[in-house]
Amino acid sequence: MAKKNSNYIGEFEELVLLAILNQGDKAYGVTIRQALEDATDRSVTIGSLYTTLSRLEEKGLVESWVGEPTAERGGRAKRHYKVRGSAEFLLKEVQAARRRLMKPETIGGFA
Amino acid sequence: MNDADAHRLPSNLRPPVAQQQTSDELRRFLIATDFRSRPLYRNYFELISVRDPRTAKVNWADLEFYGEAIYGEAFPVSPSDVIEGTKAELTRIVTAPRPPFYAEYLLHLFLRREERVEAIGDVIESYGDVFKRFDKRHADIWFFKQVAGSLFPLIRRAILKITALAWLGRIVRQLIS
Repeated sequence: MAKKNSNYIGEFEELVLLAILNQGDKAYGVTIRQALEDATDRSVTIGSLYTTLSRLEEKGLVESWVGEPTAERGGRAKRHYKVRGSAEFLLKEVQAARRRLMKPETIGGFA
Repeated sequence: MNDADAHRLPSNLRPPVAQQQTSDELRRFLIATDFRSRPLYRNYFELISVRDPRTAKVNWADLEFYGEAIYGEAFPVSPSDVIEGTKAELTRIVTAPRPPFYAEYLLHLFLRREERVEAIGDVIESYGDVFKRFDKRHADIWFFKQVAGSLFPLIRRAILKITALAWLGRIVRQLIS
């Protein structure tokens, strides 16, 4: 898959990157989806998650590898994900930009 | 019955070649055994994929799960194993939760080849959790909802790819002419 650097990520892409970071070594489809649903309180489908993950992989922000097959998955393997260093840097930049833009007077009482 | 005719029996009547207590033991056995491969979905309910970590080769084997899907019976796969008219009988005895066939097939159609096995594995794992918590009917509804919600982003991705290719083709044609 072609890897290219992108300095723009969407809201859902940002959430997926943060979910992968939070899951650490256990980050794969099911755990990422559950983390997103717990954090955002909205339903996340496997299709939307995998289209986002493949897009992040094309942007060179995450890397993936195939793990062991397990019986509860009908003998299918898991694809594990890991956030690359460039993505962590990008996330910090996005957070910093957000902090700079968020002023208490524009969003009432928001620190 | 001699050994040569054994594969002609429905799988529930065939002598199993492997009875392993855990999925890990079963996996090790299947990897150590030379199973022939065959396409997914040809006889869905009895198939398991086994990926050999050393060669990354995926093998398929007949498998029937019981109860919590940790006890399995495996049968070597050969083309002559598929017997017309036995599928109903075979599916009846399988007690492990299985998602609706056509809903899963839709996912199979629209997912990319490189993500297909893992993505369907994820949704089947979650389906098993819903099945344990509620029942098959509710798990099926959850599965249909997942598939319905997944189709839009998957189709949109496919359309975007086709549109991008068509656009590129038009530019190349204009450059050539």
